[in-house]
Amino acid sequence: MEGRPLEERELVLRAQRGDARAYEEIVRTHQQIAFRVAYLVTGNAAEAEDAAQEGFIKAWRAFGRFKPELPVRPWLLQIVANEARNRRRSAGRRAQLALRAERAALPGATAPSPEHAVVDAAERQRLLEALDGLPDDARLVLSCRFLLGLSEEETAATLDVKRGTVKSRTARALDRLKETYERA
Amino acid sequence: MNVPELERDLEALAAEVAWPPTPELRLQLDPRRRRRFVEGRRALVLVVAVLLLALAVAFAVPSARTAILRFFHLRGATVELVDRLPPAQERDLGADLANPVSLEQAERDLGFRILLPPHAGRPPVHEFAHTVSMLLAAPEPVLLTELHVGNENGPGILKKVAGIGSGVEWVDVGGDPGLWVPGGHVFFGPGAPARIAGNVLLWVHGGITLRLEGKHLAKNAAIRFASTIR
Repeated sequence: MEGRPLEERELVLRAQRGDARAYEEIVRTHQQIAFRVAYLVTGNAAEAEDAAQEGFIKAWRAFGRFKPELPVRPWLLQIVANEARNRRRSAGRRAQLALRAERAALPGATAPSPEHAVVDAAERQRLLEALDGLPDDARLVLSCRFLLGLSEEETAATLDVKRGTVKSRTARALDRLKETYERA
Repeated sequence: MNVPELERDLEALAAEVAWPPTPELRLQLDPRRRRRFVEGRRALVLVVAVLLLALAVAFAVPSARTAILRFFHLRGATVELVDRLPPAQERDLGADLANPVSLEQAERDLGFRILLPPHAGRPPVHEFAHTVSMLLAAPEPVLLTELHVGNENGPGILKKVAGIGSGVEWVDVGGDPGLWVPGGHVFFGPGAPARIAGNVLLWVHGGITLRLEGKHLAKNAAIRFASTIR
């Protein structure tokens, strides 16, 4: 199985035979990234938790139909993100993120450098705020790709769009973010 | 700042974001757990449930929302007549099956010898939550599902709900007790949403509860075929 540890495939097969412990192990592996995806979509930690929880339960119910030759993470993220979108749609509001830059300086950084435009807390926070100010499509695609480090395939599954759309949307979103950031 | 620089900044930012702490998810993963049923149309319907009697309440069968008019019991199985049919979709026999495993693997996992019709060879089977299923081509495309009910407190796995008029009857399957359930009822299998099932024969042989389903399966043909499954 390309790109997937053997243990995960074994866990997937065991879970498909109804082994709840194997599935729980899969959930433990992916719950952080799934929760963060849900948080990006809903903008609310409590709703993100509910979405992740319900998404993982729905995935369990559908696990018999998952193709074990495929990587499981994009599939799980797709289900959790979909659950998060539904919740947000029901709430009828835009996600308001409250992401903050965590540390005062980059590890090991002693002074600003051309390689790192984000060298102090204020700059990082400004970049995050510029990102948060983008329209949802742009904000989500950049957050998935850069903040969460998802692959194009995983981002496509999470956003429920084609891989080509991820590419074009990312390019447009970067242009827009650059514009917003420089203007701010 | 150009776009590549912006990409680098975003990548650097990833390690700096103060995400909310990831909660420990508490999942209830009983494979037998099913959603509660929403109210269905009002009609005289037949509900067939195959499940462990001891777990019937935990399974939240629609009995809470639909009046049980009559029921039958087979080893580890309950057939209920109710007044409302739960919602369900029509799907292919094999639509909800897990990926196949070898017969040997399933027998090791489940701990009982899987019964087979003659000339079936060693077909791949689909295992999920203490049940094993296989699609067979003869006497027509059918789905055969087996479960071992060691005792009344053992693991339950199948639940089946059926609508419509009548036609449920006790039958003799080669000397074993059986129930014939005409099609149009609703079936609840493990790990899959409810679906409308075809004609079904339920019977018990050697401690194994078996279920044979086919869209156009005739009662007598089903009984003859079932008698050969050993």
